[in-house]
Amino acid sequence: MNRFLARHVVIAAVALSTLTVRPVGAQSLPDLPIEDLLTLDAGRVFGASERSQPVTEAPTSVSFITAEDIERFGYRTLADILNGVRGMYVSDDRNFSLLGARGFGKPGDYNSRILLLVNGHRVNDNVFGQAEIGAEFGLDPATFERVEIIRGPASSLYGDSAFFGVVNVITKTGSNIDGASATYQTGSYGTHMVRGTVGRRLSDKVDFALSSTVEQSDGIERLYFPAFDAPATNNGVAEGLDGQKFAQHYGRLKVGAFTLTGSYGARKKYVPTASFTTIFNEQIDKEQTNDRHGMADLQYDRTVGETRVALRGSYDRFTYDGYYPFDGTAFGITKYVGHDSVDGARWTASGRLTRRLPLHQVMAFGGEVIDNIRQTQTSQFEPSLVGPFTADRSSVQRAVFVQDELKVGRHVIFNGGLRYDGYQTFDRVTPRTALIVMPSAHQSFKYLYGRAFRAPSAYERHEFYFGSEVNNLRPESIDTHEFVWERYTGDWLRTSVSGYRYNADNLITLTGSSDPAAFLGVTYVNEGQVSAKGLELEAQMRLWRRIEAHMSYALQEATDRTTGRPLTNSPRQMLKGRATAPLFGKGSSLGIEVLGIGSRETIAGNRVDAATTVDVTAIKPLGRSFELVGNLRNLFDVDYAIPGGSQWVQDTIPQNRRTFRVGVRIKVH
Amino acid sequence: MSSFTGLHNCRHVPRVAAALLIVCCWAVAPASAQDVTEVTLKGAFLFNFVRFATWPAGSLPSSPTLSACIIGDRAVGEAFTKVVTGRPLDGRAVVVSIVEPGLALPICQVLYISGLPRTQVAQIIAANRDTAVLTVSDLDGFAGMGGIVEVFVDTGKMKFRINPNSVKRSRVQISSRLMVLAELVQDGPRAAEPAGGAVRAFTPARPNKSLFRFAVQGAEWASDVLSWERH
Repeated sequence: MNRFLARHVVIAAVALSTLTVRPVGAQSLPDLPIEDLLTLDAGRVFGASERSQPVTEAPTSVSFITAEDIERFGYRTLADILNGVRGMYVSDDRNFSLLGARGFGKPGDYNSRILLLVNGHRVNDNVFGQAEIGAEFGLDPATFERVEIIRGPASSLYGDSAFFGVVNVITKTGSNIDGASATYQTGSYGTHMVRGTVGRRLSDKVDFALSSTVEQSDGIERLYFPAFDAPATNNGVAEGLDGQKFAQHYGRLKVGAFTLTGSYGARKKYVPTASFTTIFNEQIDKEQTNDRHGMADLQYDRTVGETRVALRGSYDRFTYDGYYPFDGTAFGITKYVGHDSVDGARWTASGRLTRRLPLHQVMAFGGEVIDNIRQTQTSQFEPSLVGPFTADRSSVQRAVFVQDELKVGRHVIFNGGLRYDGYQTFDRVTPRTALIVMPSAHQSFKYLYGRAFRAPSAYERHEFYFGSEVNNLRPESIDTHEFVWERYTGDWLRTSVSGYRYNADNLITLTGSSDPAAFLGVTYVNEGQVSAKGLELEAQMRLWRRIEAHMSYALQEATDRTTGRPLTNSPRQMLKGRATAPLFGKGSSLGIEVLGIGSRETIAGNRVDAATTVDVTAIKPLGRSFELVGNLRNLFDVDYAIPGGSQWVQDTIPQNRRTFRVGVRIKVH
Repeated sequence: MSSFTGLHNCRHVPRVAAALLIVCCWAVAPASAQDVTEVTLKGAFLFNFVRFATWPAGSLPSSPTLSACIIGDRAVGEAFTKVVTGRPLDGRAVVVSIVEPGLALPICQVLYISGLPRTQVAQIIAANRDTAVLTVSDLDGFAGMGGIVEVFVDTGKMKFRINPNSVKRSRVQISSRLMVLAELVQDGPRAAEPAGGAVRAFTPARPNKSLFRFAVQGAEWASDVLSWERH
């Protein structure tokens, strides 16, 4: 029954969006009230060139998620947001969320090949190099005004990690919030959430925003893993080990040309999957991870004459404590607990000048210094069998970049960028070029070429864990060619087609170590080679009766060049659709999202089947001050799983079944 | 693993969907349609600014027309022309002239300026000061320089600023419906001097001056924070 329903929801959603030839009732722009014009998207992107520019002129293929989308589809994490984006897929291993893009989503890996920015500032940590996108990210999506997904390599602008793409989160200002609100939500698995938000533009020059969120969830009470189905391991049932709690705080103050953004988030998550061969269903010393992200970022942005000057100084801190209960029989004790901790801190100073030059050029020139003052990793054991072992590391990186856009007539743009990154043991120069042809202001064809790198992380270069071989690690690199066709049609439709091909080399891969001193017996080497090609389609539309719809389709084929085999956790196809309509009167919305992700191979050579899930969110204002929210995820209770990585005994990890959430928000204007 | 629900049960769905998507989105779409790009949006905003403005008696042409001049952005000019065609305002047909930068300006009641260097924009503002011309631009800081309406894109959405002093000086009345939606700004240090006076070339702010202004703004903020509930 569920299968039947789910299949037909997909067909219905597809039919609904595609059979609408031209939305007769959709009002043309000049007939819309000006209040409505203020809510339309102006089709601009910031993160593609570190300046605001029309999507059609940007040297990349872009998607957006707006604050309205986040509300209307009930997104609770950045992972929820990105899972709905064209060509991306999120695998939740019930602890961290792995982001797959362009067919690459190595099970059990860190998200170190996507650069995550907050208002243009790098937030990938400086130990694992990862973008944390679950609740551990540290910012509540309710504080996002917009998320820009910028596909393809962008190391020519951002350096390290901008490998498959860049996700730029733009946070809310006081004028976006304009008032105060308090929210309470509750839902399945004993979930409770409280959020308070306040923000206002106080004058021409001064604007502030503050928001805090606290959430707690027990998770799935009994999680069954067939791989552990034995009497000694509670017949494969992990009991009460799926909970998490987190707090996320955010503040932004703008005074004239200065903007200060601060955030702090902390999350504790219990791990039900017994990763890294810990004791299954351990109830006393529960396996758990604690992640904390803090950031303070001061920006100065000002136009002096024809030159835009942007300076920024930032401090980031990431700390992590993981507790792993192990069987101690080999040491003559019943159990011992491994305690891994990480303390990463860095200062960043950067500056950028952007100026219009003769011959319709826009040139940008900039530099950046990152001082990783701490990249400390500690392993200790309780009781103290060995150690503690501490790897104290610090490093400095420097970079300069230049970027130029040259308009030839009204229809052609050449775009070129080059960045030099100097590390202590290597350096890299990465280019990006684009040729953009715009037959009109509403349509563009782009050819893009770019190269990007990912530097080995401090974790991968941890000699104690992985032996002396890791001192030879070099950066990974990727070369990407892409064609993009973007078009705006009939003031109701935006479409985008993109075809790409890439070669990634020197991928840092886990393998057996020949160094007997390697504590973990494994090491990292530069040996992975991947080739991939893909085709992506996206359509976004404003239909009759204020229905808004969005659809995307991705076809991708990623191959390991050394084995000739398709990559694991790489779905061949993805079909996604979402639509909203103000069904219950003014200010209300009913949002439906359908996500179809094709089958994927696991590392054991099995397959997880394709899965189609449907989420529904309803919002209904009550008077001027109250708003009710209801959200159902996985409406048809589909039982599906994602491939696990090498740190798990089980080959697949089950995902959440149907869950609900209801809440109320009180607003003060 | 127990049963999965999925696309593999109906393999054709993605392919059919993709085919439909392509057919519907590209084949059926009318070729001459206008689109929601920034350009179209600017055209629609400009139309609304004109719609909600009233010119003082005697400043309008005797023929039932209203003249709008677009300098520096042909695409916006074309989008605006499309919007006003067949949509007279107060019984007046809007006549759009797309003027190449550097050429002499005809007499216009609406002036949209884009893509010009700041110094030239300052000259145009100065030349139109105290005259009944609705000046609009997408130049950053235009309203503070003495222009009337400045359109800008803030985190993806188009918004506008109005300088009430410039409105007063021009004697063009702007409807309160527009004023409440606008960010209001005051004359900045770059506001142009009266027409006929020396046009002040733009000079970058000196650092010590910025620091001083920073302190003043801090104080302004503190006082506003303390009284913000009364706003």
